[in-house]
Order: sequence, then C-alpha cells, then structure tokens
Amino acid sequence: MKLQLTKDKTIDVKMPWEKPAGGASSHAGTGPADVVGVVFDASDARGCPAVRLQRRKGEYHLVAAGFVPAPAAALPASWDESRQQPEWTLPVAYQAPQAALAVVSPDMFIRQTTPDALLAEGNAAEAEKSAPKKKLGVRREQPAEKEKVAAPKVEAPVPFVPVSQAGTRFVTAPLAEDPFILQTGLPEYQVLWLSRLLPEGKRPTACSVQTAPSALLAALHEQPEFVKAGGTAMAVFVTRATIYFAAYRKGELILFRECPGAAGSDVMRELVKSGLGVGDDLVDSILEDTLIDPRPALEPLVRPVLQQLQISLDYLSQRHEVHVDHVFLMGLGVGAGYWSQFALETIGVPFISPDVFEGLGKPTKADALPADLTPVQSQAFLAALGAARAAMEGA
Amino acid sequence: MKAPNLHLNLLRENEKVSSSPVRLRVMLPILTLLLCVGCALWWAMLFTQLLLLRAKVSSASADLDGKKAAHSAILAEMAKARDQQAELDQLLAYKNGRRTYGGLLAQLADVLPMRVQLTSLSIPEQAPMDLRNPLNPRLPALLGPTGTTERVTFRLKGRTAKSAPVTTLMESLEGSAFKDWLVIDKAGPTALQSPRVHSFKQEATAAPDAKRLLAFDVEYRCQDRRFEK
Repeated sequence: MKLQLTKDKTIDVKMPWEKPAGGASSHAGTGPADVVGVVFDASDARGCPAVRLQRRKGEYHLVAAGFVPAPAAALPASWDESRQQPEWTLPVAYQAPQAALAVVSPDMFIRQTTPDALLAEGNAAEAEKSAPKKKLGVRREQPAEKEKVAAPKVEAPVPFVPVSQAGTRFVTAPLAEDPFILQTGLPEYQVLWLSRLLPEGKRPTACSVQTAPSALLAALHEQPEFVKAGGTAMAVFVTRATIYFAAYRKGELILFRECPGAAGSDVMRELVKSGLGVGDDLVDSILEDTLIDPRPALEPLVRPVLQQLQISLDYLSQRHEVHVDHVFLMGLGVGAGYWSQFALETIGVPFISPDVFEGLGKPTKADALPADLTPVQSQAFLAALGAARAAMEGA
Repeated sequence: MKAPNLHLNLLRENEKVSSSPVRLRVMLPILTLLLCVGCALWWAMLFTQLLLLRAKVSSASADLDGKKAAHSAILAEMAKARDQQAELDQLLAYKNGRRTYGGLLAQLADVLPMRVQLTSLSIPEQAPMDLRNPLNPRLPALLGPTGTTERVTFRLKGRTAKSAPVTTLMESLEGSAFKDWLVIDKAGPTALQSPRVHSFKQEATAAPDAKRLLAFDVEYRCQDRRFEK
C-alpha cells in the first residue's frame, strides 16, 4: 500500500495481505488492479478513447469503454503554455482510482536504439550545454583552460526509470534482442502538465503517462490468436499519422520500428477521397463495402508498407530464425480487409484484425460500452487498452 | 507465455498523487494539532482540578486546625456525659433493685399463730459470687458480677409446742397476701424449692417447766433483686 506523506514523498508499506512483488504471477501483474486507460488526443472530434480495466482473480475484465470529453485545453507546446493548467474530470463510469494516459503529441518520439547511442547523444547534449556561449562584439582572447571545460559524464539510463535530459523526459525498456533498447519520450513540460491534469483527491489520478505508440505494444497480449501463436507474431499498428511494426517472440518484444515514409490512416482516407472523388462521409462505406474497389487508391500507401514489413520479416528469419505465421493488423478502423488482400498477395500471409476486447472478461454493466460497438470500431480503443494493461502489468 | 513488462511510464514516483479525498499530508498535521490541543486541554483541566483540590485541602486543614480545640472540648464533654449517664444508669438500676420488706413483717405479725415463738427473722447475706474467669481460672478475675439479678431469701427460726401452728403459719405465708414478697415453688429442684425446711426437730434443752419444745427453721425465697433500668 502506498502512503503519500507529503506531495513529494510517498512510502511503500507492505501489508500482510499483500503478496510480495516476486510472488505474483506474471499474468496477474503487480500494478494497480483498477485502471482507466485514456488516450489524450485532442485532434479526435469524438473525444478521447477511454477503457477501464479491472483485474479480478488474476484475469483482466473490461468494465467500461467509450469516448470521454476532451479537457478544456490542448497539450501545451511550450513551457509558457504549460503554466495554464486545466483540471480534467472523467465521467463516473471511468472514475477508477488510477489512470494511465496515452499521449498523442507532435513532440513525442519512440525508437529502437542502443545504450551506446544513447550515451553518445547524452554526452553530446551535455557538452553542448556546458560549452562557452559565443558572445557578439569584440573578440577577446580567452584563457585556454576555460575553453576546455570537461562536460559531465552521462550515465547509462536504468530501464523503466524516467530520465530528464535536455528538456526531454524519456524512458527505456530492454528488448529481447541484446543490446537493443526501446526509447520513448516527451518534452518535460508536457509530462509535468499531464501529471497535474487529473486533480489530486478526485478519481482518477495519473499513475502512468505513456506515449501512444508505446501503449499500443501491451494491447496485444490478451488476444486469443496471439496467445494461440505462443506470443510469436508480427503486429502492424496503424495510427492516424504513423505506422509501426512490432515483433514478438514468446510474448517478448524483439523488434520495434516505425515504417519509414508511410503515413497513417488519415492519409489513407485522403487517398480514397482524392482517388475515387468522394466526400468524407462516403469513405467509411467505400472501405467497408465491396461495391466500389478502393484498392487502386490504397495501393500507393499499402505497397510500401508491405515492402517494409517484408524486410522486417526477413530480418527476423535471418537474424533470429523466427518464422512468423501470424501478422496482426491493429488500429485500423476500416479497410482492413483490403490491406489483408494486399498482404496475402505480397508476403503470402493474411492480416489478422481481431476485436480489440477479445480475450477480456466482458463488462457487467451493459451501458458502459457503446451499444453499436463493432470489432472495427473497437480499434479506436487500442491505445487506451494498452495503456491500462501496461500500467496494471508493471509497477 | 510470459507477459513482459512493456510499461514505459514517463511519470516519476514523486509526481504520482493520490485519488483519495483524504490526504494524509493535510490530515496528519490537522489530526496532530487536534491531538495536541486535546492533550493541552486535558492537561489544563487536570491542572485546574489539582489547583482546586489543593485550595480545598489547605482551607479544610486550616478549618480543622481552628476546630481542633472545640473538637477536643466536645469530646471531653461527651466523655463526661457518658460517665454521668453511666452513673445515672447505675443509680437507676440500684433504685429498681431496691426491695422493702416492711409490709412482709407487718403482714407476718397478723398471721403469726398462737404458741409460736419466732427466735430469728433474717434476710441472710448472699454467698460471695465466683468472680473467677469461667474459661480459665488462672486468668485474672473478672471485674464485676456478670449478672444483674440477685437472689434473696427470708429465713424464719422459732419454737413451738407442736407442729400444727407451724403448718398453719406456712399455709398463711403461701397466701395471696405475701405473693408480692415470697415465691412459692415446691416442684423445682431441691436447692431452689421454696419454702425449704432446714430443720424441724425437738429442742435439746428442756423448757423451765420441763416441757420439750419443737424448733423449726424454714427459708423462703423472695422476689429477685433486679439491677436493671
């Protein structure tokens, strides 16, 4: 049990009825048992996708899912803007004790890198910060010893511990392939702004701030197809602006990369609109129905993605001797069927696009889920589900 | 399949806040302050009570000192009153224990038959009481009589020529005229019987006319003297 003594000091008290962290099963997780995952994406007109999960007897149960109204202010773009701090209150069904925020920010980053590269970057940043600044005006001779100010040595980041460096806060996680690590981060002021967004003393308060792409990674673990494949699969996560590839071996992340040169589902919709000359309201029906074939419009987007996917699959089979038979296409609302046809033609493996909430215990309250929620529409909640799932999995 | 930790949390531990409306960092100082105020009030009440008690004790002791002389005088007066009451009780007991026998003697003169000569009329002194401790005679003697009653007897001695006049006299004494003084009890134990004939025999010495007379000695038990209030 965590006791907050002061605003800055929290102590962890182990109660007799609490299981030790090492004793809990890996499936049950060691984090909080009731979490609402919310995607903070101010650009979505429907609101922010939110998913409330509860862990009951070691199993994850879906309690509520839907769109909640976005907060009054947008994500700050500078330190000055971050001083205006709104308060965000979620609807009653989503008022779990803890919240995991998955943030979509133009300033976020996520990449696969190595500790050495990180160290080099950190040292370079410190050296630049500690270097004497050039002054305008008459150039004077400076003592030589002042020129050679040694930059402080940057230490390698500890996995899962947030690091603040050069105005950015990032966190790393080791991949199953040594020495690669996954690094993701946000500007410092955005993290601080988000940490204060859900007010203290009201449900929920933020226990986790994640970038939306990193939140996607944990969303796949309860999928029956994924479990059936033994956790060895490739996932293509399609977001509105970007496409990410992630490869798992026995459930562990082995590869993560952003598809180079490819845009997300928003560009796909633009392509359909411009290619077929239809309005915005007809795009969904064209991508879902078979009356009009949108493949010529989709091809310029999908083909390069599939080529990059093929490269990743080849890398896995040659480097790790991992032969992937299951490729999941996640996050794509409409048009997954056409993507799957392209995949079958190009790489010989169809895409699997399951219901996001498959494998979870269903909610007891019928009104907590949208009545007309289809597997296609459930894709919008992927990042929210992943954020909640990741927060519940690890402390 | 092992579920790995993919929680890339950018939030630090010290930035997490509690969702509970009860905040320890607010409640703890308030509760501590209330506890301190409560303790201070309790201590103040105890201190006030102590002061009041001390004041009461000092005033009571001063009052007691002032009344000590009067109290000892009262105690002396009470002791004196007790002594006088005891004397009064004793006198009253003696008064109640007083018996008069003038009436008995006057009545006796009326019933005394002819040919009876009384040689002695006495109320004998009682034998000294046994004042030894009944439980252990070796212990010091008791300070006084244990009872409040005293047995009294009336003894008649005389002469007569024959027995008939004596019988007549005894019958007369058993009459109702003497019931205020004499107790008639012929059925009780020998030592307590009344009248009790000690002797009734022919006198050894003859009279001048050479006639032998009969001497009698009879004892009657009288009403007990009761030294009671």
